[in-house]
Amino acid sequence: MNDDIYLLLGASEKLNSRIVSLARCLILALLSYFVDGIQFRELKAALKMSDGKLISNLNGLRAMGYVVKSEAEVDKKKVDVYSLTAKGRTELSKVVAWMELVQKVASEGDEKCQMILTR
Amino acid sequence: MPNDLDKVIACLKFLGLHPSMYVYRWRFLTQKIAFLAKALGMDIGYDFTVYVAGPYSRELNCDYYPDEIKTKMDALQTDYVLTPPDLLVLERIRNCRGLLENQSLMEAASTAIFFLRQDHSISEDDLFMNLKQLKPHIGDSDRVIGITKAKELLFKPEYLSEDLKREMDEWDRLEG
Repeated sequence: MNDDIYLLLGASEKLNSRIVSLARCLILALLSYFVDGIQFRELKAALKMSDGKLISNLNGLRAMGYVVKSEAEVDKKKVDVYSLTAKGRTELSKVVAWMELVQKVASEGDEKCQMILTR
Repeated sequence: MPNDLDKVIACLKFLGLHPSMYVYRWRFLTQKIAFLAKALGMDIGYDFTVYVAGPYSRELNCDYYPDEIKTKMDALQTDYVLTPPDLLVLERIRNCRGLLENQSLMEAASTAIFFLRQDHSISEDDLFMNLKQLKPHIGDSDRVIGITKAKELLFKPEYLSEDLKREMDEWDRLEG
C-alpha cells in the first residue's frame, strides 16, 4: 500500500495534466476504440458537447500531437474526421495505468477503513 | 475454417464494389455492409456496437488495419466462396435501392436494423427518436427512408399473410 502511494505520486508526475479532464479523456478513449476515426458530428452527438467546447478540446489535443484531423467526403460533403496518433495512444495508456493505480490505492484504503470500522 | 474478413471481402466483391480502404468512405461502407450481411443472416463472427459511429466492429477494423490487408481488400482477394444463403442475403442488400450510394441512408438503415434486432416490437416513433438522438446529423427524410429500408431488408416472405396479401392487392388495383 505504501509503495503503491509512492508509485501513484511518481506516475502522476509523468502524466500530462492538460489531458486529465473528463472531456479530453473521453475523446481519447473514443478515438482509441474507433481506429478508423470519428466524424466531428458523431463526436458531438456522443459527447453531447457544444461545438465550441468540443472544438477547443480537439484543438488542444491536436496541438499536443495526440489527435489528427483529416477531411473525408460523406455524400459529397466534406466532413472532419478525427483520429488518435501513436503519441495520443501512449499518453492514454499512461492515464489508464494511473487510473488503475488510483483504484487500487483507493480500494485497499477502503478495506483498511472497513476493517477498523467493523472491529 | 473461412476467416471473417474473407467473407466481408466476398460481400464487397459480390456487390460489385471497388473499395479503396485508405479512404474513410470505403471503410465506413465496409463496416456497414459487414453489419448488414451479418444482421440479415450471414455467418460473420464480428461483434458490432451501434454507439457513436453507427454499426461498427472494432475487430473488423483491427483486421483490415494493416497496410497489406488494405491492399488485399482493394484487390478484392478472397478465398471464401459465397454459399446460396449468403447470396440471398447479398441480393437483398443489392436490391435495396439507394443504400450503397447514399451514406446517410446507409447509416440510418443499418442503425435502425441494429435497434430492430434488439427489440422487434419497438414502435416506429421510438425508432425514429432513437435514431434522432444517436444520429442528429442525419436529416429527417433520410431517417424516415432509412427506417423503411431497414424494414424492407428485414422482411421475410413468411410475414406475407393472406390478410396482408389481400390488402396489398387492393392497393395494387387502386394504383393500376
